[in-house]
Amino acid sequence: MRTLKLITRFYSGIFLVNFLITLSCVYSMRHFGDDVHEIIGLLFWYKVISLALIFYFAVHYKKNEQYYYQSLGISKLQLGFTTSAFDFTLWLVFILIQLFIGIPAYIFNMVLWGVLLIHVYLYNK
Amino acid sequence: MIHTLEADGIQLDFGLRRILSDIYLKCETGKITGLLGRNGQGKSCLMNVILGTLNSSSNSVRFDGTVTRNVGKRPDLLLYLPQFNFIPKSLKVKQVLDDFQLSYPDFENRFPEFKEKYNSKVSHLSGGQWRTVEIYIIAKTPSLFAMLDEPFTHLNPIQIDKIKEFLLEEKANKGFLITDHMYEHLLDISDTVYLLKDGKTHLTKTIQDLDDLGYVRL
Repeated sequence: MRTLKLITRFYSGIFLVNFLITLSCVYSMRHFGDDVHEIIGLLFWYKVISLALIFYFAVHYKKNEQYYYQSLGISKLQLGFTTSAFDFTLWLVFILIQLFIGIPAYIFNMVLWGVLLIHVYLYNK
Repeated sequence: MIHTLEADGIQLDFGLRRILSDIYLKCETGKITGLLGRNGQGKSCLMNVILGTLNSSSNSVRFDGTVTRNVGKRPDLLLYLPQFNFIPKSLKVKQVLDDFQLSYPDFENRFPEFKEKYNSKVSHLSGGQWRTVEIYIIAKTPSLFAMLDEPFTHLNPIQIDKIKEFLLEEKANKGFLITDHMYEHLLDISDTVYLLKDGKTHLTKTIQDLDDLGYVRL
């Protein structure tokens, strides 16, 4: 439970940018409409590469903080694997919902603004 | 039971420059081992090699005589205080102590200046208070050994005295390997002192030895 709490804390620092990338994928799918299959492969690699880059920069710019997690028994690999796996699953869920059901514009906007507001609130807390 | 941490056979090069070559270091639980050396002699590198976060061409790090790899993944064996602040800035003092499963009242009793700081973010503390929190969590969290890299940096003289007193109490629970440029403070609390010079460790017994090895001028 403590490990989960610590990994969640690390993830919260990179969640927003990852989530905006996921939403940009959904937005691109909406834009392409019936031709969505043409860009699915591209979106996949876009997500995978951005995940790797975001994790790399998070670790690089907060390398001092890695000692904090290390002292608590959580390795860099564990942080990277867990957060990437969760974020990729979240991306997959959104992509599948968009692909098979379609996310209405008002829900898309609500999710976007909701996440931004929650993030601003938590940042200032 | 007394546990031991030994490191030897360490060879570390940066390009053509040899940093560490002839190292022998032994720490025991219940004792404080000091590590002195001028800037750039490789004290922090040696600690990172022991921790496993810096690769050397060869090394042997042994706990109770058993070679142990990736010590950094074993906080039950060894904890490390780096020379820079490592607690995430956004955390509050209470969150840090919760993470390490340490009691706030105990901390407050030990360091009464934190009475009103329970809900303060570490980034809002003074440099000395921030360092005190870091030293406390590393020294107090259960493990066999702790390595402290420049623990006295950012501390004022009163805080240094309190930390020295605290470390002398805590050595009953673990072994410490401490490096710092404030050698007089380190000599005060150390049971054994090594001097790192030209990539080699020299066991020193008196301040005269440090003078002979060119570390201090008496």
